[in-house]
Amino acid sequence: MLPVLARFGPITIGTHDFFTMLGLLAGFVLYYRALRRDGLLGGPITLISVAAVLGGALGARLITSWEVLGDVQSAGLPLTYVLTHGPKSIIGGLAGGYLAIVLTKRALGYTLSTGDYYAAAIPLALAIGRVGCFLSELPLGTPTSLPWGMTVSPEAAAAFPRCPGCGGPMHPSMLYEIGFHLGAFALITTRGPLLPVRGDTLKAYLLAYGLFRFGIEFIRGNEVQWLGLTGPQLVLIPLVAWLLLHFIRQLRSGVYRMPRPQPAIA
Amino acid sequence: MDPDPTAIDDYIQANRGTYTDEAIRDNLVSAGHDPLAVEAALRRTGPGTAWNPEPQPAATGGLMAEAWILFIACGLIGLAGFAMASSFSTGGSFPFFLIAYIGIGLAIILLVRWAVSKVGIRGLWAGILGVALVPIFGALMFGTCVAASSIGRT
Repeated sequence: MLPVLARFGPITIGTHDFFTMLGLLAGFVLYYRALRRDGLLGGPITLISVAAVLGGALGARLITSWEVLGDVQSAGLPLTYVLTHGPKSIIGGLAGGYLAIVLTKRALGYTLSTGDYYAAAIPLALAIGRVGCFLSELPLGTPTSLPWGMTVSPEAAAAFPRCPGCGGPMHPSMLYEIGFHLGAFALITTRGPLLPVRGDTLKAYLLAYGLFRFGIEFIRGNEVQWLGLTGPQLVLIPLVAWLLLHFIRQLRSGVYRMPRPQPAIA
Repeated sequence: MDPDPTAIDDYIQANRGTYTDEAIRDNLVSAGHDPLAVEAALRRTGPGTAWNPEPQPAATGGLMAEAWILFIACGLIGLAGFAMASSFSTGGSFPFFLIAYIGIGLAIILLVRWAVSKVGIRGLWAGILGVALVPIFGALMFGTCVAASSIGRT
């Protein structure tokens, strides 16, 4: 485990924070390049991007905050503690960012779908960000007897208030997720938009990630909250349902049967 | 050969709002159009449909509808938080939360409505308002939670 990456005098660089920032930076570079390539850089897209960051930051803190509200209050801490020190979830970050983008575009009257410009940037950012999780968070996953199960030292495990599987080999669930994101990133960057409709490549990736994450939660080692499901799984149910509904509507509308152009006259 | 380049432009303009440039390019080329002419047309037409500097009146209604949805959704999340908080059943805090949330929330909604309709807020400022709505309602939710829980404890 490597919770602290470096110390420069009074400044401590946390591994998780470093990789989160690195992932965001890499994602923004890709996003910026894609927008510049298509001549879309300008004031409106800057506002939309700022909204995405704000909405993402807020959503990441809020979406699973209900898991710890009882603990925070019973400890006598103000509820604002949840915002400053509470759990963060990338699912909330994605949902909050998406909602903020939709709202801002509506307000600006910006009609072009820009989702596909994020389609390669998000998996790259998440893959890099998850490296920080892997190096600094426990548990890695549920106990496993598979040959690639990973163990941590008792000293590292003792630093965490809850680590049920730390006594033996655990699923490296963050590595599974990194593999998923890198696979999605490679597919999108080599094939381009996977679907002909603007924005649907991003939605397809989000749907695939939602389903993947729902499954991976069973071996993640997160606390079960209700009906045998973890907090992220409960949050994912409506989000995945909404994305499924979107694709069902798209299929039924026939939008994927693109109008044919007039043939060229030789 | 493309004796009528406007046919390519018309096809691009008709479909660019819905379909990706890659899909449009593939379709035109597979219909026999010159790839270079298609590329030039894609560059020439540009992403002009992306930005409408004068939002339609319907956009105002859309903004207000979203404000209401956010207000209700954040209220429900706040209520769920209270339902899980230990002081919820000790009494006192829930009515305060409800009154504060509805009162402050309605005031903000009315302020937004006034700003949008009377001041004629649009374009860049409407965008800033859209950006601000999410953190405003988030802060509203948690602010009332903190206030209500501190009253509940005393």
